[in-house]
Amino acid sequence: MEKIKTQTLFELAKKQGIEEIEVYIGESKSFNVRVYKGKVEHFALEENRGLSARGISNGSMGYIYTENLKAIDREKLISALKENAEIMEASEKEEIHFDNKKCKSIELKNSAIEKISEEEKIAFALEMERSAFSIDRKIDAVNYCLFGESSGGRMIMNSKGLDLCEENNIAYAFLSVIAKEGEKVKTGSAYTVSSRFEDFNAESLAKEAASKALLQLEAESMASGPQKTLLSNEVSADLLQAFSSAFSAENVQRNLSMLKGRLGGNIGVKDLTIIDDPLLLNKAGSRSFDDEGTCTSKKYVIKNGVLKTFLHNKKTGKKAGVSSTGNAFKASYKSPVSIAPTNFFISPGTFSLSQAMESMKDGVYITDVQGLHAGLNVVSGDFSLSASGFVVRGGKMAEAVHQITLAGNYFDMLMDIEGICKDLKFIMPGSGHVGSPSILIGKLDISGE
Amino acid sequence: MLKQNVVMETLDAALSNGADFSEIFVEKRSNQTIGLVGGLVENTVSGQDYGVGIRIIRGLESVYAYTNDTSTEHLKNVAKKAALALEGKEKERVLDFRRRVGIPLMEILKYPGDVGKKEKVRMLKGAHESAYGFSDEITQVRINYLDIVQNVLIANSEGLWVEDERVRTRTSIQSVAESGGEMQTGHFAPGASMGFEFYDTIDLDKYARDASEMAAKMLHADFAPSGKMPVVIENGFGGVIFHEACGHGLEATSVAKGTSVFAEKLGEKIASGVLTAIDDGSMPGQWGSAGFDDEGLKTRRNVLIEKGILKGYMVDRLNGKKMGMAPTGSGRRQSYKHAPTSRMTNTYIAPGKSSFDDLLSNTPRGLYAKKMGGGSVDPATGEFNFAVMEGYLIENGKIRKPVRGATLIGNGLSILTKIDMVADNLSFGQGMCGSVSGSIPVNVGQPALRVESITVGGRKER
Repeated sequence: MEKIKTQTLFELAKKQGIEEIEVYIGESKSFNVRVYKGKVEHFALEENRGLSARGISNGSMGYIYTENLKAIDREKLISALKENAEIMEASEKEEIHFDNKKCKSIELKNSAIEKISEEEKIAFALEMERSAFSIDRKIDAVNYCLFGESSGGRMIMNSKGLDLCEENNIAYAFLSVIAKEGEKVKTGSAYTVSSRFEDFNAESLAKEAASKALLQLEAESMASGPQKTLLSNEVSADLLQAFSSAFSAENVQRNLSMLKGRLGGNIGVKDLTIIDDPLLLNKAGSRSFDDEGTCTSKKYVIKNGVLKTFLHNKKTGKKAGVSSTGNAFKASYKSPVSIAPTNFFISPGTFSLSQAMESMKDGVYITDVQGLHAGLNVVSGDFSLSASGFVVRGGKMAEAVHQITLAGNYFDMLMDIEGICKDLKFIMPGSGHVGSPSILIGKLDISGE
Repeated sequence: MLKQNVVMETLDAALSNGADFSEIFVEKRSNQTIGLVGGLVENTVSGQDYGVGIRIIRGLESVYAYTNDTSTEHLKNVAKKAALALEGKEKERVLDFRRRVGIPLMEILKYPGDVGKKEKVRMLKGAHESAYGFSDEITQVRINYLDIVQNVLIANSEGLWVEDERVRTRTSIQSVAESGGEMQTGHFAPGASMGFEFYDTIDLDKYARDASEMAAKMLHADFAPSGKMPVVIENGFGGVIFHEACGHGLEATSVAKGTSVFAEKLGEKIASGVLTAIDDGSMPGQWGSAGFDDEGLKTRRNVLIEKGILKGYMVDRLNGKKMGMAPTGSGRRQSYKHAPTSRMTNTYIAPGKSSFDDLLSNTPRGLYAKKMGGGSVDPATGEFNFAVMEGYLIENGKIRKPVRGATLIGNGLSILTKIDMVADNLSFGQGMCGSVSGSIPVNVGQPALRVESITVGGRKER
């Protein structure tokens, strides 16, 4: 990343009565290509750079940001920062730190993929589309088919002497297909996220998307009632991601998490272990330091059912009398420091999918849920989501079901896990990179006919 | 924002490898957020977004590039690099610009920047007091305030030059009620395309009390029922049902590829005769409004469905080209980081002739969905879902005991024929809609209506 000179800004800040100041720069360069019917349909070239500053005035932290880096008006920036600090009232104060510790460095940038030509990446997207059509005559359209990659980094510098920079890159492929038979229409999608080009397999992605759509073509609804439920790895990871904010100490301290007061207690079955590991290779959530400059480390959030720790930044750590867990992150340079997981996942068990079905005998296997941004309450843990999947009968996967809903309470569900499979999968990165194996739940409520 | 010659040279560089069309979108946007937790200001950020998006079209192919570095040389380089992704024979000429500056749909009386932060905080604290003081069971209140002034310049190689300003503000209030180890929430978030004067036109304290009332009610409510049943959906944000069940499927984004369940159905009867639906981006002051769309066309009122007959789609420039249809002022994008595409603005079901009481008295048993949350849809299959946050059982045509949230699911094509009664009390609700071109402000609206049968995703067998 291109360094910027902060000295003049820091000096001006001091002169204007700002006690300490910190500058954060986020940067990314990316390209993505979307193909349709054997041709490039859309091509995007993106470069993004933004700067934010936070500074302490009269003991309170103020934030500002700008994307107009070529014409920064330092005076204006400092006065806006002071104005914002002036109205802050939080009882727990944010601080600016430098503890002069060297973080364990990990390789987050794979430059090999950047050397592969754009043509080859376009060819990959075209190959995904071609493969999808070749799988079955019922594949009627490939409505999204894209390959993209992004590289970037963040830089943090403060008036106490902190000066950190980390670069990373990631690539992704995604396709969505439409299967049609008579009046019946179903869609299916698949994706890969990795910084190694060799992890991208056009044919297997096409197969995965196509089979999801094809298997659902004959789906019907089913009767309402409670069911033993096997959640696929993707569905379980979707739910974990949606409820991950309950593990944020910020939400706990703000009285917005059902997990407050549960530290050290059993909040899940004995087999349940949840890990936050920022030091995994080739994972989108990996970081060697967080957005306050704290070194990150691997930690057990739930171990054998016991809640071991919440995720902390410096402020929440101080309030709880513990150290930051290195989970202080901003959603982007535009946002204040908050808390987010890194690579956050349910530790895999030993069951294969078919063993899980055998053990459940009769129930449903849910392979897709929709409406995650709306159909759940992250505070109460209640969820009710549009779902589809398969009936499981006599320990075997039977007919497809759709147009049903899956409802329950996430925190009750963690105490009702009857089996954990070994098929750990990470979903598309969001706030953190979340993964889960498929898990078997004693009872969830299905609504259908 | 950018000088005319810079715009001209950038548009020209974008056409350098041969193309039919080039467009530049310059955006300068000031944002101010203030967050209160427990009545105290916990965070406040002000900032400026500034960037340029360049779009090039040749035939049905498009390239989009964006950058925050708006120096002339850099912009020309970005445009040239983007142009390399397309190869064409003919090089179009950039025409002279016909300048148009947007006349505000509504005069802004109090620019957000002219109102002191302390005054904003004072108002939010008042709302906190109203929400927190509602009952002893309210244990937390979170308030997030936002104001935006977005200035855009849209120019293209056909000579279009449009400057527009969009001013918006919104305050979201979330109350948490707690008792006996259980927590429930209530939520309201009014917003408008107005300045700070918006808060003179609404009673924010009432919204705050309503959020707390909802949380407290849900704390003592039973689970919602499961299975198919008639549902009476309240006016205002209830319009989310049309937004998901049908609206997305009428966006050219999915119609152009023939992948929407509503493709090739113009002129056909697709809904019950009581249903008329409109998308109108030109409504003064409304949350989803703007004088011009993000491709520089004047926004307007588009009738989508009239008495059950499909009348039109929401069309942007590129998809219009694919469909052989004129754009409808529906091209929208979150920011310069997104290529525009057809999106909804203020979408609503027109008032009908029934009264709210008629809806209830014709429903011996069912669910009354009072407060809705968001939803989603797969336009290819028409399968949609949306959340009910606060519900009540209907028994013998009367509203009875409250029930907790549940998701409602269905298929767009079939649900439109099942909306069998529409009341006369149209109102609107505000939301953020996420799709291909990012997250944008939209209004949903409707009078109360009745769906004769829909699957309710509750947890209680009847």
